[in-house]
Amino acid sequence: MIPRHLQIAFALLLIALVGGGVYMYQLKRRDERNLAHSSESRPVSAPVNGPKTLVKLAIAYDDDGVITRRETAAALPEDEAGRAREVLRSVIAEYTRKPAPHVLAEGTDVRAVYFIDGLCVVDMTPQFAGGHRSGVLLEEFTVLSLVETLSMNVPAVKSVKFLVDGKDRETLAGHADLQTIYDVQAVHAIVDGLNR
Amino acid sequence: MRSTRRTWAIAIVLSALSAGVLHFHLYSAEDKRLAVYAPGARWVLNVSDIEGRPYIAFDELLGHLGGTLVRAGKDSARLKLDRNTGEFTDGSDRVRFGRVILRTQGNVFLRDGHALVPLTSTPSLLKIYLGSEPELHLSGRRLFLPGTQAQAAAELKKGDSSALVLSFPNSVAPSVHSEGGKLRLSFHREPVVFYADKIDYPDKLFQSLSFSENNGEAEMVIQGATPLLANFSDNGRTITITPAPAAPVVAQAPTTASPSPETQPTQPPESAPNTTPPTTPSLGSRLETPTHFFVAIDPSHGGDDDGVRFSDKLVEKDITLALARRLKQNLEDEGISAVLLRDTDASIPLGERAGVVNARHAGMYISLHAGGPGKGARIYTALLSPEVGTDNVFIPWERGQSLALSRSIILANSVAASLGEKKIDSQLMPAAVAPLSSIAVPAVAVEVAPPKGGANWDAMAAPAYQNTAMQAVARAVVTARKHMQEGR
Repeated sequence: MIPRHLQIAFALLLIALVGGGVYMYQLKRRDERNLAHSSESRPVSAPVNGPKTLVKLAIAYDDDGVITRRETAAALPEDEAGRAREVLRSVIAEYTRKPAPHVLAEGTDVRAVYFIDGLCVVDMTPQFAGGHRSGVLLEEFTVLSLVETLSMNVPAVKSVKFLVDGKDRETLAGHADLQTIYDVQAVHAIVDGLNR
Repeated sequence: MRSTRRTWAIAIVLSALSAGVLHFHLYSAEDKRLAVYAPGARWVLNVSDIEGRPYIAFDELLGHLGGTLVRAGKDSARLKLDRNTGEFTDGSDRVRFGRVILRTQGNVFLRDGHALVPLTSTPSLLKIYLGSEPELHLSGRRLFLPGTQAQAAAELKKGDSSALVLSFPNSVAPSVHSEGGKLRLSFHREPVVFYADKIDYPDKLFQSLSFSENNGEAEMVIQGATPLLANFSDNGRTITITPAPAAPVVAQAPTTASPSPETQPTQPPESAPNTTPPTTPSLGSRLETPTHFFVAIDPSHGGDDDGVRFSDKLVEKDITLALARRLKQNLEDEGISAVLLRDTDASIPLGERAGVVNARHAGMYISLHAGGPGKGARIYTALLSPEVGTDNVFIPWERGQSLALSRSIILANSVAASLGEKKIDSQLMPAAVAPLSSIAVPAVAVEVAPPKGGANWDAMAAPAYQNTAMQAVARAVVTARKHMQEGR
């Protein structure tokens, strides 16, 4: 006959063992969830407050093969880099919600924007390229849409260079050249041509 | 209660440490590569760090050689190549080949469907499978299967002006960077080896030649007293290093074929370090080009680069190759020579594609793509401003197309018109499609979409549709060439 206090001790140990197992399982699940979230490496930036202003967006419509210009309202920072970042986020938001006329991968965001005179250097998150659908037109539409949106809202932008995760990258997803510097006037002419 | 908390705390700390170690391993292994050189082929494998040792997925390596991996049990797998079958056990440093047991320099791990093997044990394992032992350059992470090493030789020729002559058993196409008196030849694909790490020259022009291997690539650095120039000859088997002339001029390919001089100035783009435009065609050794007018057809993607994945079985690289073969046939039916930049599932860097087209003076360049959205075909010209050029003007590599752009637009319009005659919808637009902007001859990219739009990829892959589209492109080449000749 096992003494009663030992039975209680074994029962407690068993409960602790099962409880520990459940807890470890939950930890594992939480880690997996955190890992999924960690892939979304959007930089933390202060929310923009203040009066909303008119923002012009160049929205790509894959099925129609056009990039149309339309307007929305958004609160924009005073500085050019912040303004550029926010207008890009406005257009990216159009592409990351469902359904979207032109799809960008979840996690696509602007890491940073720099200005070197009229050259606007846009540093995108890895998901921008890593999760982008492959295809000449699909990739071109992304680039054209972003560049055109930038130039319509930030007049100081004369040309645009894209980086991905802080690095130069050969192509967006196998087709669109990301090593080139995009001239906003040339892009504007293409967008005009698409809408004719 | 306190002890339970302590246990949990220990468990959490251990978990965090494990996660940290895993993170470190994942990131430290991110860029490490092993180049494997086989006769006529080169493969690149990722190298992982496990327990402080470099590991590779041995099944991937053997897969390139025709081997197969068969999962035998939960903790073991069999790798078979021809008659040799090795049994790999997870966590064990012993690999069994029938009665023979080979001890590896570290445990084997079976993870994610791969047999991870210490890199240092790869030669001895391959010796059993292949019958002869390959040579591993561990620090440079280069593995040479028997008979693949290309031993380079260097000879300093003294005279009025010294020249350093580098000889190779096969054609080579290193990317060339010039920084002051330093000339850097980077061999990304070739199995080049050299007998010395460094040679010092008692010469007033050439000071030293050093050779190094790193991360699956080799590099030669020639240090001179003045800026140096690499001159390629003997079909890429000889590189003669000489002092650079005072005013270098960038290569500008003529639109009509002429005997191709194999000497080119070396001015890769400083602003784009990731591009490695070769200064001589690295495809040259395996690409026979006619001496008269010919069209360079570029089936985009290839090798590891699938392009668009339409389904499990249908990928862009296969469609572009099929289109390219049809275009070549149709051009030849029109009496025009054509050359495919790849006729196999080969991976060719974009810069290399542009390099060979420019160096071989193709008459025209047509890059082929496939994919949606939309229907019919889209014809792209480079996103550049046309420039009115003269001879001896410096054109940066990334704007090499600008002098030929007006003729490219003639070609693009001709393709659109010809497709229209075949009742195939088309759209024409400028686009920054790599490597169009670096091509110095009339160049377009054609992206073929399904005939009636949607995701009807099978219709896009249909031979009849592809042939009709490529007939139209071939016909357009004839028309555009005529227009260009008339306009000259």
